Amino acid sequence: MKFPDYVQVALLGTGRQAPPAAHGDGPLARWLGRLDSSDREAALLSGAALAAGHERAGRLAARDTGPTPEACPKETHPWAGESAGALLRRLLGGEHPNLLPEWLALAASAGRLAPPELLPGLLDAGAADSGQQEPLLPVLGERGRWLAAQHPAWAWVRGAAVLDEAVWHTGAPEARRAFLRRLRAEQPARAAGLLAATWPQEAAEDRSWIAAALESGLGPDDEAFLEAALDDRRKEVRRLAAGLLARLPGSALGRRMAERTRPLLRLAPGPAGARRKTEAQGPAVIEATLPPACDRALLRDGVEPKPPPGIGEKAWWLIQMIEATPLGTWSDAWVLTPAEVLAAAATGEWAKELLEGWARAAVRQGDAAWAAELFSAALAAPRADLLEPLLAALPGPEREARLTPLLAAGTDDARRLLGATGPGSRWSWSAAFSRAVLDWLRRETARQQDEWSLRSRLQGFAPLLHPDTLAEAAAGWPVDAASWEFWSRGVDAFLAVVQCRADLHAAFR
Amino acid sequence: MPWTVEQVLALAPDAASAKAGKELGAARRWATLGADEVCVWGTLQGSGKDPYQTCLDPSGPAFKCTCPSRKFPCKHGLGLFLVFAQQPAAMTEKTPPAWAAEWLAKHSEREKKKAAQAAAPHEAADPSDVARAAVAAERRAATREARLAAGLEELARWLSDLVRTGFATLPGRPSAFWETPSARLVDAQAPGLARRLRALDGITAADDGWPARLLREAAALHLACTAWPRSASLPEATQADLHAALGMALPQEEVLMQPGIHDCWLVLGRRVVEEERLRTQRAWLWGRTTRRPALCLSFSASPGQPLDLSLVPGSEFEGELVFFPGAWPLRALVKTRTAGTGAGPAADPGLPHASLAEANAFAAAAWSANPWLERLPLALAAVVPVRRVSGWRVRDAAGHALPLAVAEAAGWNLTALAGGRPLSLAGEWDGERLAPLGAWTDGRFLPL
Repeated sequence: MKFPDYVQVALLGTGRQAPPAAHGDGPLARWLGRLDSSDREAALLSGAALAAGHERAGRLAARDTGPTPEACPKETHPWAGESAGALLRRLLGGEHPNLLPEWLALAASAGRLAPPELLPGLLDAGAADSGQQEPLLPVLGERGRWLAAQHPAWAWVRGAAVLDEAVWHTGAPEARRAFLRRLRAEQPARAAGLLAATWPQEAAEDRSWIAAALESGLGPDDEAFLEAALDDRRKEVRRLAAGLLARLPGSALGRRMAERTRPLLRLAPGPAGARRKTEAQGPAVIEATLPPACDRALLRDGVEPKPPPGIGEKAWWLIQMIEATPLGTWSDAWVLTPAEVLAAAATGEWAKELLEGWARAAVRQGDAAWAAELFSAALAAPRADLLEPLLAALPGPEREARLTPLLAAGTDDARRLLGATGPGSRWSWSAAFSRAVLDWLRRETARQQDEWSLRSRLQGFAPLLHPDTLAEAAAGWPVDAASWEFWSRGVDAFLAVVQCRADLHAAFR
Repeated sequence: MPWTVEQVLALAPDAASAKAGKELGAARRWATLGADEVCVWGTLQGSGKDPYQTCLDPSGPAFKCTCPSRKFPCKHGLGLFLVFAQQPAAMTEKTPPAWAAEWLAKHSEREKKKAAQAAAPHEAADPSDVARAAVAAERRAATREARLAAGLEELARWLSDLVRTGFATLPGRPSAFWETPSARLVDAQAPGLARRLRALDGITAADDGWPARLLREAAALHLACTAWPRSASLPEATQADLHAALGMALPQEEVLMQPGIHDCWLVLGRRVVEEERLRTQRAWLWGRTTRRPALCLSFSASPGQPLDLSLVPGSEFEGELVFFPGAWPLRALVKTRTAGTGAGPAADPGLPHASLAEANAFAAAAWSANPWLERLPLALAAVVPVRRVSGWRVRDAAGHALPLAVAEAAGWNLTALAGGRPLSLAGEWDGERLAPLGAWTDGRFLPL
């Protein structure tokens, strides 16, 4: 006649089973014995009321025999203050989540840690996006590492926080990834050695991310491994290896590609019959011959045989061959500067394909000098689709120097490029460029009535502004212009992000 | 003590207001902003012709705005409060404009009157009026009692059918199965039982413990049905508990006329639940000297009706509480507040239950005194959250544990907060699981 006995009867129904009878002579039994048992239902409910009350009031705390975690070591750094913590809570709660990197950077440089109750949210953010892991590490503190050790999804912390080779051999996949990324960033040669040693035992599905990790700190030491990976069973791995080899200066793949591609391009005399640029008989022209076939050797070196729609297959092969050929090949061969090569290639039959091939080469090989010239050439061509990747291949100051005149002129390219390089890119603007962008935005909002795409992207610019310009961003908008009704909400959303950033900087000051 | 963004946003009547308030929580949105020691004010251009005038008294907190919104506090009030909390430097005006000063004067007069009303006994009225009113009241009471008795008889039959058929047939029943008898109880003027019955809808979808939980509730309802006809024979305190369980609350004015209990009251936490259109806020208090808990309820039937915002979790105040009668008095009203209205959390709360055994003994007294009691607060001085196969628990130094009613993620947050060391934790205990309200650790308070 314990409470569970009553539950048992209630489940089946008193129509089928009688309520438990009182027996024994404890206090509960004595009370139960005084209940009228003639009405089964009432007897069950009354008995249950007594037994439930008896159980609830007489309950003793259960003994817990499971392990308790060791107490976390004391922190060596202070936690972020009240207002900084409140801001982080808002960011993690989904308000301006793209400002999280800025919070992390500010906290790290102020030597502050994230408040403990927000650590699970941060550890989740690191698990969801491996790009966030490194900036997270400095704010986790002892508490964060202690916490991460208890949850499998947060195993990445161990891999990224301590360079312990045991992680590579026996750790969870997440921890191995984080470990390799960190080791590669700090000791590329050691990472390459470790990776090559365990490569044969790696599962097929792990091989592609392992190979991809070589991208950071890529150097001549990696060539032998990558060259062997060109014969891997997985296509993804082969592609990755070919891509990495093509950006490795002096690689055998680059040389092979140069040998194949070099004969296909020819510097032809200009209309007046000139052979050399020094002879003043008119500009030379670069002519191309399409590759006749895509053989096994070409496939092995990463050429994709099937063209995307709108391109002939031989033209497609040529583009990819140029992409993988070291850019230096051309200036050396013709003794021309990149600008002169591009000028000579601008009029030939395959001008479009050559431009695209070189643009891809400049992006892949990270060649800023070529990218700068190609950007000008693509603007003139015009090849709007190439501008964005080329701009991304330029260092920050170069990028701003190229964009500022476009902003001043208020062209469509300016609008598109600014948007494309905005959210998600790691590029943050100089103070001068931020002011140029703000001025341009104020002009555009005064001038345009229905620029939907700019309005929707407006908010994405706010995280890029230089911190020194945050205070001045709110002023100078054309609030009296006829167009303002269209813009006011978008500008408000933009300024809300700006305000949040200003608060952020203030919270760490 | 300053207000935090979270505390301000917790005042919002709904999520939409919180969001709109956040948007207005930037100084640049406001045409003028100002604050002095008692009052905060600001104006901003809304959709109307004249700018809205908003002011607030952070100590209440109390709000006033000229906008037409029916929500309270409105987004302007919240926005102004957020600016005040986050950018105090932006409050550039130092002397209140006429409209703000006027409101403040009216507001403080109203507060004084309210306090005076609470303190002073009702004035004597004309004896003949009193007699006539008494006759009318008696007649109303008789009708009401007849209706209630019939309603409880009907409930008793319904409960009989429920246990005769057996709970095993319940899964898959439509909501109407529970709602119909619940609506009858509303008609019979037993809203307390109606609420408990309606809350059973969906119980079979919960974990394996549902039959026991359902039987406990059915037994409590049955107990009310059988107690009512013989309530005159019950001790006075138990009669009061029965009335409270039925939902026949004493008028607040009547309760406030009783003498109060003076103490320093710590606000352990606050929980808002929404049932149908009614929002109920449970604020749990702990008296430091009297070592007793208190429950302050606040109801809102529409978005325009504010919940009581003055009991800020983690803060404490000196004042008098009046308890509703009962065998283990718990529900109370704040009669007077003499000091400490700010939002400042106490660094060391000094929570009373040193061990889980002590907390259990405390709860045992409550459960055995009032069989209709649904939950009570536990204020645990030192527990560590631990994760087990069955879910999250808190464990004390003696190795005892209580299960927590928290989601997986919330359990991790609590673990992070504790760092493997004991923290102070307040929560609502229903006899099965503890639902955390707030935690104190490292000199900080966090509402949960």
